Amino acid sequence: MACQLRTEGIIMKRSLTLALFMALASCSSNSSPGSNNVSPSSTVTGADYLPASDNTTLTAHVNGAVTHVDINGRLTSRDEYDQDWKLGIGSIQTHKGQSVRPIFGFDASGNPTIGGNPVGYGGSLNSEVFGMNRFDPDKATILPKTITVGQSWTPAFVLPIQCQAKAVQHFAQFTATDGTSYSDVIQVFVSYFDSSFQANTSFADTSIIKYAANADLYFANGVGLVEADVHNYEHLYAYIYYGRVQVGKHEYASGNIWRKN
Amino acid sequence: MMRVACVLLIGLFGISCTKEHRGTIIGAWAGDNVTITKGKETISVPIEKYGYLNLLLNRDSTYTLSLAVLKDVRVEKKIFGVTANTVLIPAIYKSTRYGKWMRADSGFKLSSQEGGIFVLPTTDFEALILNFTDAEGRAWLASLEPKE
Repeated sequence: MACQLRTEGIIMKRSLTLALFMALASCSSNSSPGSNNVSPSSTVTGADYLPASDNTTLTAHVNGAVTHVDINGRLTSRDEYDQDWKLGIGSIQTHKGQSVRPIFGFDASGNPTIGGNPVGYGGSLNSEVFGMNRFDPDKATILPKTITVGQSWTPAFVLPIQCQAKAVQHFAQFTATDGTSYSDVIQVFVSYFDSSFQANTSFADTSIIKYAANADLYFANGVGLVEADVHNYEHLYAYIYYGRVQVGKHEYASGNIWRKN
Repeated sequence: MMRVACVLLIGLFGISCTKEHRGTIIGAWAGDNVTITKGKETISVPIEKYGYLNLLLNRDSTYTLSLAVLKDVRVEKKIFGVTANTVLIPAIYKSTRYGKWMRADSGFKLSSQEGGIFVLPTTDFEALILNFTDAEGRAWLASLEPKE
């Protein structure tokens, strides 16, 4: 049961990362942003940059690659994607005492991810935008109430997760990778690190889990996440089986995601 | 003169035979057709129409398997839970697997994290039949021919 929950947790974390990949999407950070920066000292309201409506479907284009390596670091596989994926936002509901909307993921074939369960939840409270996973009551601050260029915040306070966000720039105009132009866009750099070591009574069930990622996210006023540039994503799942370390999964990913609707 | 002509003919015949009957599993192979089956449902897809499937088997027991879907594979009828006139396999997707190959039963096995991929050569190595089952329980059966 614990193993099952942990597996679900792993899947969910991955789905959340994918959701970040998609919903909180950005792209070629340094190459594509438009010019005409607004005043760096301007302060904006977080909720204006990630609005949500009941029962909506977002389409994002994913262009990236995932590589797998073995325990010695040798490349075992590489998968490349250049596809449209979808994200569904459900109607507002109460989850763990918070008023939120569930977020659903769909793969390129249109099949729901993780058995149709929400990949996470999103909500807004006092102009702050927050996210939640399926299991925990804790909230993660996606966009704080007020944002000023240069400002940093810690989205999640739950250890062992180390997550940092920083408002890097504020653009009057931003041109996404697909050529779409957005006005009034903020760029947020996010780094995420989560590792755990679980030594259970069963010797064969000792596991090592690591997630690490960093990305530049672009939020347009009145639109939401319009592009994501995922520089690096790493997921390691290893376990110790009678003294030998076995790698269940060790993957790296990077890519660009941009909004299509 | 007659002898020379015979030798040339035999030589040419030998070359043509070598092309079709490699006599070994080692070398490069290209996918021709793939049949996907689950339960009573089956669909056959000509690989070149949508992308490619290449297999390189090296003497040092390493292999490289490359698959690409460059054009959406659409289905005309409902199959595998996918409704008619929709995409069964979306483009663009490229996948490359690296690993070791070894003898297994009457054929060969390509080691893979996703499970074993089995390769069965036909008589005289005219073709290879590649067989694996994906995460959704669909059996993939692909025929590969020697690649020049």
